[in-house]
Parts: sequence; C-alpha cells; structure tokens
Amino acid sequence: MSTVSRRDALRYGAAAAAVVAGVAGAQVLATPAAARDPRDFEMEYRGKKIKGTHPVTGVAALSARGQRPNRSHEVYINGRKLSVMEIELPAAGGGVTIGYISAINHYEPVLIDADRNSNGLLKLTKRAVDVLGDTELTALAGAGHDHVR
Amino acid sequence: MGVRKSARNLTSGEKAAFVAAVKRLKAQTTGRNYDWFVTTHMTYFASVGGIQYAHRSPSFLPWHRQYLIEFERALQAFDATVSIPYWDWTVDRSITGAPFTADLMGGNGSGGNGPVTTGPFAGSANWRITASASSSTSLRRAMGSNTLPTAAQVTSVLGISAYDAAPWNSSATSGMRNRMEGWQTPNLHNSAHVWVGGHMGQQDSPNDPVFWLHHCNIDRLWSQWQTRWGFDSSRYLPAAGTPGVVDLNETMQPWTGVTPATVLDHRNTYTYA
Repeated sequence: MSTVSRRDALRYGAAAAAVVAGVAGAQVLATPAAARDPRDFEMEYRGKKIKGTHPVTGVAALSARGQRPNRSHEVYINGRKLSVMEIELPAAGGGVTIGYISAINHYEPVLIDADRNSNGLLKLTKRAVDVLGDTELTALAGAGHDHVR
Repeated sequence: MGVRKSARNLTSGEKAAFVAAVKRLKAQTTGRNYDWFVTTHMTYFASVGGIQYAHRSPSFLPWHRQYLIEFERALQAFDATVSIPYWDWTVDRSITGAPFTADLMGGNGSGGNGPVTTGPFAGSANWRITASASSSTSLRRAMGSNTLPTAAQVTSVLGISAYDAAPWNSSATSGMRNRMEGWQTPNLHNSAHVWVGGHMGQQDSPNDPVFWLHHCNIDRLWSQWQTRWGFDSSRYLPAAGTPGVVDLNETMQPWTGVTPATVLDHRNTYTYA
C-alpha cells in the first residue's frame, strides 16, 4: 500500500468512503441514520441471518452526534452476538496490521480494511456460519473480550 | 516422575488409562474439574487485569506449561500412572491415523464439520460439551481445512535463538515465541487448532481432548528449544519492567507462586520420550 498504513485505512476508511461518495457523503453528514459503513451487511447465508457493522469513525461518527458511536466491529448470527477481537499482526511489508478473530474462529485472523480486505468482516462471519452448521451461537460467543488497545 | 510419550507409541492399556482419567475429571462436579480448565482458558485468552497471560505474549509457553502440569496432576489424582501424550503433527498428519483413532481421540466430524462419530468422546452421552461458544453438546471437528506445520518449519522456529522480542505481543517479528504461537509465519500452534477445526478452532478449544495432546507437543518443542539454547532463566524474555506482560519473576495467574522462572526447567517434573 502507499503511504497510508492498513491501520490508518481502517481508521479513516469510513470517512474516505463518505468523501468519495460525494452527494451520498452529504447525506451522511445530514442524517444520523445514514451513518452507516458501506461495508456493513445484512443478509442470509447458508440458512442463517447474518448482520455485520463496522466501527463508525471520522465524518460518519461526527454525524452521529448525540449517539454513542459504534467503536468496534459487531456481528450477529440469527440475532445472537458473535464477539470480535482485535489481534495485532506483523504486516507483510513490516510494521503492524490489525487482524480479527471471533469466538468461533479463534486461531485464524481475518484482515479487515477499506481496501483489499473490505469484505473481511463478511468473510469472518461466513467462516463462523460454516463452523456452526446446524448449531447456533451461545451467550458465551457474545461475551466481551478485553481489548488490548 | 512422568514420561510423556507420543500418542502413536502408547500401548492400548496406556490409551485406555488416559481416556478413563480424562472422563473421570469430566464427571467430577466440584473443584477444578474438566470444565474449569475449559473456562479458565477462555478467560485467560483475553487480558486479565491488563495483562496478557496465556496468549499473544511471552508467557504463552510457560502459562500453558503450568496449565498442562495442573491438568496432568488432576488426571494423576485418579490414576498415578497417567501422563499426557503428545501429538507430533509433523509425523502424524492423517485424519484417520494417530491420535485420531477409535481407541484414543476418535475421528473427524460427520459430514466434515458435524459431531465426531467414533471413539470415546463421540456423542453427548459420552462427552457432553457444556461451556462453549456454539450450542452443540457433542464434540465437533472439521479436519483438514489447512495444512499442518512441517518438520522443516519446526526446525526453522527452533533455530531462532531469541526467545521473544518487543513489542512482546502478537505482532512481534524477531523472536521464537510468536512463530511458535503462530501469529507470525510459519505458524505452528494456531495452524494445528485450525486443522482440527470444530471445537478446537473455537475459544473453548480445550473442550476437544486433543487440545492437551497438541499443547503437549508445543511444550515438547519448547523443551527442545531449551535443550538447544538453555533451560536457564536468562533464556526467557523479558526479564523485568515490561508493562502488560509477564516478566521472568512475575506471577502467572490464576496460579499462586508460579512464575516463568519456576517452570522453565521441567526435567524434575516430567520428561519427553
């Protein structure tokens, strides 16, 4: 990647997306309801309803004034929460990148950013559904991990 | 003193004794029973009191060494002859071979990601999962989604003389520990969790008894590294004064009086064959 690190891309991705979107960006500024990341999803996958939201940052976070901003990735499978945990990883070109694991896929981090890994959260969620098969998440899957950062 | 052997070299009597002791610990209803070990691992994967004890930190290896010693002692309370066997995945790489045979760990999940159907831990009547991120009450596996680490990869990791390096977490690049744990390539420990899949890939991975055989092998590899580079306390890093991680002489929760320094030399407690 250029001079923008993955971490910066992650942090500012939503803001950049809003700016690039032009008119749509103005709508983001106007209404809290539009403070939504373009990578967010809500769909059905292998018979399960999956929903994922990305942290609200930058311009979008400002537009959501008065609301508590969503500061972490959130995933729900059939309405049950799947806790997502940040893992600092060695970056391919040196430095640090952020990967994500879940209570279900605990040893296989997925990269999530606004660039090449923009579908990372969806990938993480689909992997969890693949593991679950005909079972569901329990309350333990949604219990919060401490975050190291 | 116990001798930990490869699962492939256990006699049928040794296999039966190990399985029986594990099941008695599972059936225990009070104290540090099997599910205590499961929930303790879940708790300590994350930071506790701002300190990373079990994972993503230098104490990954000594914390799990003590965890295995505690588990082994719990089994030995039922049968003093039992030691934890190890799964050498550089040699035993098949989903049907040791240790995944019907007389020890049992095999793959039904349909590739469903309940295990063979062996002593198949089905919730034989082995009931109670503390898990998924609702399955039967042990599940989804084996072979990636490739197990190779002997050459193990050799490359054991050849790194520095135990660990700043920033002492999952992004450390220049020490042995993060390669062994697997956040850095070639990724030994994490890979085998993913390869077994099912419960072994979840935060409640000790629900699969093969967890102990896998971690016994990780501990054995650390012992091999120590044999090459030294069992003395100067080989553990960091020595002192490092926030958020366990230094050489700092206590490893949840145990009292146990530090990395106290577990470095295991040779008076158990050895590997």
